[in-house]
Amino acid sequence: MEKLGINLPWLLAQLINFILVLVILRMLVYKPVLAMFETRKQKIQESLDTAEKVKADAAQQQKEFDRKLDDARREAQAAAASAQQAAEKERQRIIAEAQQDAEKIRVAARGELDYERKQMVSELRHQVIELSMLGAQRVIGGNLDERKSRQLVENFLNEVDFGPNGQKAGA
Amino acid sequence: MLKNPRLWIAIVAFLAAGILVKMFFPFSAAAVRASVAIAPEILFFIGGFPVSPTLITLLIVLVILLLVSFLGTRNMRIVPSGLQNVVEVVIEQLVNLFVGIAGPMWTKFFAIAASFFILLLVSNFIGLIPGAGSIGVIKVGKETHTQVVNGQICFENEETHECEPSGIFAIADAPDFLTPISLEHANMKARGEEYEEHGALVPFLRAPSSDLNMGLALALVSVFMTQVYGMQKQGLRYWTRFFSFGRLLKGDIGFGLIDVFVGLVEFISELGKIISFSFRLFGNIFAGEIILLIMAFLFLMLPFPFYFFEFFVAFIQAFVFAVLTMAFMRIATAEHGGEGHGEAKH
Repeated sequence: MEKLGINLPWLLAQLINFILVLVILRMLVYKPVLAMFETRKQKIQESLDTAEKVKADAAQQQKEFDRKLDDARREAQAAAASAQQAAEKERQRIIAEAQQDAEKIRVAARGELDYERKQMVSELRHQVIELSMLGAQRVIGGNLDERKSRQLVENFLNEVDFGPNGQKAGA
Repeated sequence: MLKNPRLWIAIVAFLAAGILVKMFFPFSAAAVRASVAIAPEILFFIGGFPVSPTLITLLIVLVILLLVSFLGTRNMRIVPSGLQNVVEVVIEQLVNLFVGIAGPMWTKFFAIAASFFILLLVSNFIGLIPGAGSIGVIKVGKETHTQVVNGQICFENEETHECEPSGIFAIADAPDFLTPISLEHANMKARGEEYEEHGALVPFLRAPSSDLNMGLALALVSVFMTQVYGMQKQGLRYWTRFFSFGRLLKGDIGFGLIDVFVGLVEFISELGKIISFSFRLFGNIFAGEIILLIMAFLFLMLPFPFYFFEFFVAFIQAFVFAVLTMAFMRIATAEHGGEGHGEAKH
């Protein structure tokens, strides 16, 4: 033992030293550091929980927002559609009105034209009768029975499809 | 790496410097007589208590541990920085290691095993600081003729009678309390026996773990606390591990004798743990010191690669001591498949 250097004072010194080291490390290192690990663990857990909650909240809000956006979009679409419908209706109305007006104008115009043509035809007829009677009087050199000859010409005119309305009688 | 010419220049320059220094300042190993005594030398006495280099270093280790643990945990923050980071990393790694070994029981054994690791790590590393083991006093023996030349102790060469320098650092007129004396010689002196002394360098600082007392003290604590924890967990039943006469007393001679024998083997191996713990640590660290010393005397710069190896050894020894303690404590607290279970089956 002596050759190995083992003796009681040194052994006791080493033992006391180890106990001191144990006490120091336990008091100053192990307890606070392990407590700090625990605190940090809790803190991280808390942070994670909070983050999870915030994430869930955000998702919820996003959903809500999406829903509202959807609603608004749908409303806007409906409004646009109804407006379009109204516009279409108005267009139809305007077109119909315009067509009506145009029809009216056309009818009016045709009536006038008809009237004028009839007038012209009747005038022409009259003149043709006058002229033919005048011509016939000149050829015959005497007076013609006014009423009878007039009837004759008129019949002729009717035969050649030149009626009072100017259209072919057969048509 | 080998293609770098500057590295080669550096290596060649180191070798040339080594050869030149050896040529012009031939330190003689015989003159310095480095101390390779297994028992730590005694530097001086304080009130009858012998103070060895290992104890001085042990005190320094204690102060370092106290300072680091105080400064590292003085101002604990949730977000660590600086020294707190270092302390926390060490503790966290130890916790991870011990959880792996002892499972949920780790909290019970943590303080002791972690203290083993930290104390031994610092103790082993501090012996590797250059100067520890090489700066010290020259112990001058009776039969050695010495003289002081230019403030340096010289040993007279026995053949040429010329003065050889005795070392780089030496205290020429060492005061009485610095005169080193080995424990063996101190005891011989105390008994009034004759003893021979030789000139030798006695360092001021040596790794505390190169003192067998440290390994022995820690091994005693380890083995003793293992028994305490075992008994705490299993009560008196724990001792059936070593002294199991249950089956023998019940008349089962064959298995009873086997139980007794197994208990005896267990008991011896438990005592053997004290020796294996202490000598493993002492052997590794002490041998490391000697390797570095021998390499230093062989050639300049030669200890350099061995420092890496010794750093590794220093870490491994601290690690092994803590891990083995943890494992033994774990085994002692685990329910051992003793006679109770065995008998139920028969």
